[in-house]
Amino acid sequence: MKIFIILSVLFINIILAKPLVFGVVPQQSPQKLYKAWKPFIDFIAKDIGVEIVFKTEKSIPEFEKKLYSGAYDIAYSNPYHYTIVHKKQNHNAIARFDKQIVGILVAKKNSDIQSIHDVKNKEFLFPAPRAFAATILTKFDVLNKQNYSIDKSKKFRYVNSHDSVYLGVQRGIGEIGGGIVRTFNKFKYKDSLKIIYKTDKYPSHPISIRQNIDRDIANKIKKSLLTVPFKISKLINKKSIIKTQNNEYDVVKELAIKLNIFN
Amino acid sequence: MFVSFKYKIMIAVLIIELFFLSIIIIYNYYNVQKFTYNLVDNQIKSSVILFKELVKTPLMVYDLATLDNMTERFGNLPNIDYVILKDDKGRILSKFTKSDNIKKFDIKSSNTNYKYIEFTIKDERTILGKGSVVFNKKKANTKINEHTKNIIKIAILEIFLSILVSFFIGRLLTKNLIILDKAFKNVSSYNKRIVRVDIDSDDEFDHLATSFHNMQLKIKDEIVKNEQKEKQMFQQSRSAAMGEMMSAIIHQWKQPLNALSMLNSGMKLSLLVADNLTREELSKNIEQIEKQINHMNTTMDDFRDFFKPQKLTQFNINENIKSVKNLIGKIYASKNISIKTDLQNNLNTQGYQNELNQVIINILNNARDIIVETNCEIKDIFVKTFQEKDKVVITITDCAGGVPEDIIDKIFDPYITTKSESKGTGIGLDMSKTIIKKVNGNLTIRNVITTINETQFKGAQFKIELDLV
Repeated sequence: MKIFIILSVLFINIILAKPLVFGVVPQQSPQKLYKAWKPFIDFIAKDIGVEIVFKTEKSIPEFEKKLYSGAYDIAYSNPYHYTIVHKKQNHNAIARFDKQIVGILVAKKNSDIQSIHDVKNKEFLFPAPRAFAATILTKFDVLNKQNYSIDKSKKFRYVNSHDSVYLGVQRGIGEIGGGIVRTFNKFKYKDSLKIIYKTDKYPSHPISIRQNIDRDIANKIKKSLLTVPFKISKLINKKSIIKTQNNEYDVVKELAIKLNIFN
Repeated sequence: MFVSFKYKIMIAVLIIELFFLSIIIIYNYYNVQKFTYNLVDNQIKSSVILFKELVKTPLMVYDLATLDNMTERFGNLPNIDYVILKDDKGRILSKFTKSDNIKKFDIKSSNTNYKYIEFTIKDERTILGKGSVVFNKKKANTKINEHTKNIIKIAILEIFLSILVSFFIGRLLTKNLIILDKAFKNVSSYNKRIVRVDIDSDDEFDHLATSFHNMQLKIKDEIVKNEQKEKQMFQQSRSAAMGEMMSAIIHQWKQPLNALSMLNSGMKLSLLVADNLTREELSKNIEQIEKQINHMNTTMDDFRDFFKPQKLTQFNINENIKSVKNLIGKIYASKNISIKTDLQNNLNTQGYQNELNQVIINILNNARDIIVETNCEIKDIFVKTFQEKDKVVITITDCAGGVPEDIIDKIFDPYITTKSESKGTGIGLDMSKTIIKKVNGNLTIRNVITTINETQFKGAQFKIELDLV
């Protein structure tokens, strides 16, 4: 009888068990993301013996909406997103790629703007309101170091992508643009621009997990993430995966609070 | 210039073909051009409408990367060479140039190969930006030209085929015409043989061949009749000439007969009255009688020779003139008409001497009749012989006013005469021409002016040209 009950519970668990949802921030097109992340997710799913489905959204705002509403069991998001989802959905950071994020400010090579000291009253371009390094970090540093609020000045524009920021600065739509080193180096006309400021380094995008997931499964995922072969993880990022924890992102939380975007 | 009916058909077909094909090609070219340009224009309009919709959102947020991507994609469409997008302040947001040629001309200028379009991108009533596109019509033009070239190729083939077909049709048609032509030539070469035209087709040509055959039969019939008539006329003319000769003989004989009669009367009178006819007188009379009889005999011989058929011989034409003058000179003299000769020596020809005599007499009689009829001042007939290149020439000229210009060209036609009906048959000159032609000679007439004692007289001049041997 006891055996029967155990088998029945297992059977019901199997029947009713929902697959885990792995949400990925849409920094690239869904197709590219799927290609990069599918082998990674499949490896973990196979490793822990639980079905995991890949999920992304058409835009970052859409992703933010889903993320903050608890649509993902596991999430790969930017540090700012993480601080919010940690607050709203009790997500815990469990791993990240072994690199740090630096935001940059760029200007036209022949412009008079030489450093962060020359940014006041200038027209800014950013990719998106919640782009962590390109928008949040740079805005924060300008506020922190120059005591100049770009948001209050209202002389800024969100132009959807890093490339659009660089192109906008190059073509004179804006005078200063926020971005990151990696995307700037890939920019076709980077020779016509110059980096006038680099922010401090911040921990890179975390992989977070919802707190109410079965502890056993959560542990398995933590372990599994650290065993993902490099040949699989390099499809996403050329750096290896390292362990992280919530307090590593406290600095980001402080930053969001200062910028009044921790909500 | 002879051009075969076959080639005329080919040329006609070629001209007609070229005319209509040119119209078709030109019509087709403009239609295809119109159609293609309309198609391209519609394509352009649709593309621009779509492009405007696509760029609206990235334009709103100045997403230049997306705009560049869209501009490049749009600019890479086959017929687009140049795209530019500007914001509402006129700042260039995105630009794409495909062809280097675009730099070589003012893009706004009209050009058959390029079309410049400007458009405004609006979000409801707000102007977001402006754009310009240069469409390349070269491909469309190339296609039109290729299409036209294909039509021209087909047209050339069509022309070639038409020429080929018209050549065969022409050959088919001319085949029967050539048969008929040969038959006509045969008939026109005065061949009395009836030519059978073998046309094996149940059409107009067959009817034509039958009609031609019937015509040949009629012509042959007419020729035979004409020949008979000609012979008859010739005979009549000959009889008339003989009559003339008879008159001449009678005239010639009158004098010797008178002389004989007088000799006879003298001898008779001597015997009856005096009976003293001496042997010397008798001998002298007999000698006179013999002389007169000889003279009459000579006249008879001349007359006989004149009408005796002769073979082809060589002779001196001056002999003819002398013989004729001898024969008819006196009878002409009786009418105060004088035959004046100016003869060059050694003018030999080959022919039928008697027939030439007949011609000379005919012409002289003609002159005599007109002199008598008009009673003109100068009653001389000038006969001259001379050499002209390889010909011997006899001219017979009168001063009787000449032949009226309206009939001078027809004077040798049968039944044409300037004389009164009682005198002329209209056969003499026709027959004379026939005789001269028979020996490869020529007989012509013209009006000439002869100056006598510083006075000019108009008259007719007959010219007989014969081969010099």
